Amino acid sequence: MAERGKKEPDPISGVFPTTIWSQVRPLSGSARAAAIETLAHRYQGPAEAFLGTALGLAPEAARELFQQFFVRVLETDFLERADPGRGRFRAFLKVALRRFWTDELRRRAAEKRGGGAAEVALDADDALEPVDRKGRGPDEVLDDAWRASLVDEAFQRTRRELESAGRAAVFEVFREYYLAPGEAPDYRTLAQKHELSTTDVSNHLQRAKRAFREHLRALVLDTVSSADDLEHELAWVFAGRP
Amino acid sequence: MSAQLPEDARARLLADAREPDALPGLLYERYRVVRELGRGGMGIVYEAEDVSLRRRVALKVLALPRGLGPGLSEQVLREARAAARLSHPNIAAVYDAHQDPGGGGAIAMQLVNGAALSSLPRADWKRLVTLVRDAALAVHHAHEHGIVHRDLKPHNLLVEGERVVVTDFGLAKELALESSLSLSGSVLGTPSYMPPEQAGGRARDVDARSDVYALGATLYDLLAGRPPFVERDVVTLLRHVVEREPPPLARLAPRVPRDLALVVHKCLEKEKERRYASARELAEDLTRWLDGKPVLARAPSLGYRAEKLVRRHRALVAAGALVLVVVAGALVVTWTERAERRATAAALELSQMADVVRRDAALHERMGGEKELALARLDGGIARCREFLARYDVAEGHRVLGRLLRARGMRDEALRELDRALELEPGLAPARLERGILRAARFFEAAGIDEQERAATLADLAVADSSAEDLGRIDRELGLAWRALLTGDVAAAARGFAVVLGYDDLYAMREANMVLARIVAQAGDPDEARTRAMAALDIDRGLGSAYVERDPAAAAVQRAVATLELDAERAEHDRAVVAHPFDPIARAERGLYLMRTGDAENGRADLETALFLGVSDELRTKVEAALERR
Repeated sequence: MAERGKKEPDPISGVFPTTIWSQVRPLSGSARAAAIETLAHRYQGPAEAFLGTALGLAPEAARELFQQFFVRVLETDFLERADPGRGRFRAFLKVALRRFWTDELRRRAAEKRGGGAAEVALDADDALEPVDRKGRGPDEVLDDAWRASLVDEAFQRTRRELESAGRAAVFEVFREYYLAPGEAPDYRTLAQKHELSTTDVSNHLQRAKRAFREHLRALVLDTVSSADDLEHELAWVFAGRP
Repeated sequence: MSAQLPEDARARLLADAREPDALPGLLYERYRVVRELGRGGMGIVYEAEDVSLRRRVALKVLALPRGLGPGLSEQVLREARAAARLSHPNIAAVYDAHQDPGGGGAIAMQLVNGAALSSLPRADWKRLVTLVRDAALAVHHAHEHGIVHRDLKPHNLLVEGERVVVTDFGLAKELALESSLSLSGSVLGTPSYMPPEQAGGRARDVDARSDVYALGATLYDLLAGRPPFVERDVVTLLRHVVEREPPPLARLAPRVPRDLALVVHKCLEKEKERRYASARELAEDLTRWLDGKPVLARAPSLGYRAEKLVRRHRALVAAGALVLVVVAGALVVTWTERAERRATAAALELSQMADVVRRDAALHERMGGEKELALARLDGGIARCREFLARYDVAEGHRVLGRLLRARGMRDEALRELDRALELEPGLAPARLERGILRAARFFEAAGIDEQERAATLADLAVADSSAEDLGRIDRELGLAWRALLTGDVAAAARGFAVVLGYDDLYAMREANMVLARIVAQAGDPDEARTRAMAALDIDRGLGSAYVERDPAAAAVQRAVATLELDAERAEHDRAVVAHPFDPIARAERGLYLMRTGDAENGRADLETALFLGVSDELRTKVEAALERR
C-alpha cells in the first residue's frame, strides 16, 4: 500500500468476520480454488442463466459453457486481481462473466471468418444487449435467478435445521403457510388442520421464519467481506431490484 | 440446488424475512405489514394493517441499537403510553404500544398521508409560519399533559393539505444523543435541531423550552434552507450547538422579514430563560407576525451583547498567563479524546462483529454436522479480536474476546481476557457479569468452590441486578440464576435457568440445560435430568470425538453428562436406602457403588452396615472383597 503520510490506519477495517468471499484473496492455490468453487457452485444456476441469455443458449449448452468459464476463472489471473475487500461476489461474478462473454463473441466471430482474418473490434459492451423472452438482459436474469436461489437454499436449510432438530411439525406449518397457492392461509385454518392452538401456529411460524432469515443472511454473508457490503447486498435481496 | 419454490412463495418469504423480528411475537397476528415507510436508529416504520380493527396504521418497530439495553425500550414504551393519552387534531395519535419479551417493542400510530414540512416551497413564508404556529400549539397541548417531544424537526412535521401533524410524540429520547454519539451520525439523523441543553447531555434540563428551541430550529431550516448548525462530524456539531451562535438568518436568507427572524432567533437562545417561556407564547408571537402586528421578540440589546462579549473577554483575561497552558492542554485533551473516540467506535464495531460471529456460529451448530464451520467462525472472530487488541488495548475489546472465548468453551483464556478488561476499566458492567458467569460455571463444573472465590464471584454477579443498561438480557438472567445457585436458592436458580431457555440463544441454552440437568438429577428426577442433558447435547448432535477434542465447550457438556449419570445413579441408590433403610441389599449396592466411585469412607460404612444386617453368601463375598481391597 502506498505511503499515507501520518494518517492512522482505519481501525474498523479488518474487524468483519471471515467469510468465504473474504478468504478468496488471502488464500492461494488449491485452498483458494476450493473457496471459489464453493461459491461458484452455489451460484452456478444464476451464472448459467446469464450465459444462456447473453449468448442465446439452451440450458444444456449454457451448462457446458459454464464449465469452460469456471476453468478459465481458475486458470487466469482474474482471481488474482479480484479484491474481495472491495465489492461483493455477485459483482465480481458479473464482471468475470462479461469478460468471458466478450472473449466468446470474439472467438465465434473469428471462427466464422475461418480464422486468421483480421481481428474486428468486438466487445460485449458494444454489442446490442441481448434479452430473454421476458425482456431481461443478462445481468437482470442473473440477479433474478440469484435471488431465487438464495431463497430456495435458505428454505431448504431451514427444513434441514428444523427436521434434524426434531421439529418437522414446525417446518410443516411454515411450508404450508408459504407454499399454499393464492392467499396465505390464516392461522385458524392452519391450527385446525394441525390440531394446534393459533398461538402455537404463530410461534411455529415465528421460529421457522427466524431460522429462514438467519440462513438467508448467512448465505449472503458468505458473498461479501464488509459490513457495508452486507447491508447493501441484503438491501438488494429484499428490494426486489438491483 | 434442490427443489424450487413457486415465485409467489419466494416473494412472500422475502417480504416476511426482510427484517429481524419485524413484528415481534404476537404482533404477527395483529398486524400485516403493507410496506416500509422509513427507517432510523430507533427502528423501522411500516405501513401496516391492524387486522383486528381493520385500519391502516404506521407501525414503528423498535430495534434499539445493541447495547442500549432493555431498560431503554421500557422507557420508550412508557413515553408512548403517555403519548397515547393525547388527543389533538395536529398530533398523530398513538394507538397502541407493545412490548416484546425479547426486548424490542412496537408502537402503532395514526398513519398520516402527508409530506414532510421540509418539502414545501421555501418562499411561501406565510404558509410555513402558519403551519409551524399550528405545530407549536399542538406541542403546547402535549406540554400541558407533561409530555415533551424532544426530537422536533422538519421530518417529524407532516403536512396533509393545510393541516400540520406532529408525529413521533413519545418516541423521543435521551437515546438520540447517546446513540448519535456512539454510532455513526447517519444512523439516527443529525442533532441539528437539538437545543444546547440536550446536545450538552444535560437530559435533566430538558423541558418545554427545549421543544421551543427545536421549533425555532425547524423554522430556521424552512426559511434558510438549512438547519442552524451544519457539521459532518457529529461530535463537532454537538459542540457547536452548545458553544456557538447560529449564523444570523438575515445573512443566509436576507429576504426573510426582520421580525420573523427575531422570533426565530429568540427560540434559538442558548439560555432557556431567554427563549419563549412556552410553545404557546411562540405560537402567539407567530400569530402576531401573521396578522402584521409587531412581535414581542426583540433583538438582544446592545447592553446584553456587550455583556456577553465582556464575559467572554473576562474569562480570557482571568486566565491570564494560563491561557497558553490551557490551550495546549485543550489540544492534548481533544487529541486524546479523538483517539479514544475512534477506539471506542472501533470497539463498538468489534462487538457488533462478535455478535454476527456468535449468531452465525450458533446457526451452524444448530445445523447438525456443521460443527466444524461453527468452530471456524468462532475461531475467525477470536483471531480478529486479537488483531484488534494488538492495535487497541481497550477494555471493550478484551470483553468481546472473552465473550467469544466463552462461546468457544475456552474458559481460562476467557477469564484472563475479562480480568484484563476489568483492569483497564473496572466499571465495565458487561465484563463483570461475563466474568461472574464464567467463574460460576467453572466452579459448578469443578463441583467445589471456596468461600473467597464464592464471594468474588457473587460480587461480579451482583451487577446483574444493577441498572446498567448495556447488559444483555440473556446474560442478566443467566447471572441472576447463577447467583441464586451460589447462594443456595436452588428453586430460584431452576426458575432462572428455565427463563434462559426461553431466549433461544444457543450458548446460553447449552449452559442452562447443563445446570438444570444437574439440579433435577439431585432433586431425584433422573428422567427429566436425562432430557435436559440430551437437550444440552442435542446442540452438539452429530459430533464425533474428534470434535470434542477440538471443542472444549462440547467436552464440558460431555463431562457434565458423565457426572450427571453418576449423580443419577447415586440418587437412585440414595432413594433405595431411604425407602428401605434396613434392606441389606440396597445398602450393599450403594456401598459398592460408592467404593467404585471413590467415596471410600461412606462406602465402607454402607458395606459394614450391610454385613451387619446380613446378606446372601454371594453378596457377602463381593462386599468382603471390596472391603479387603481398601
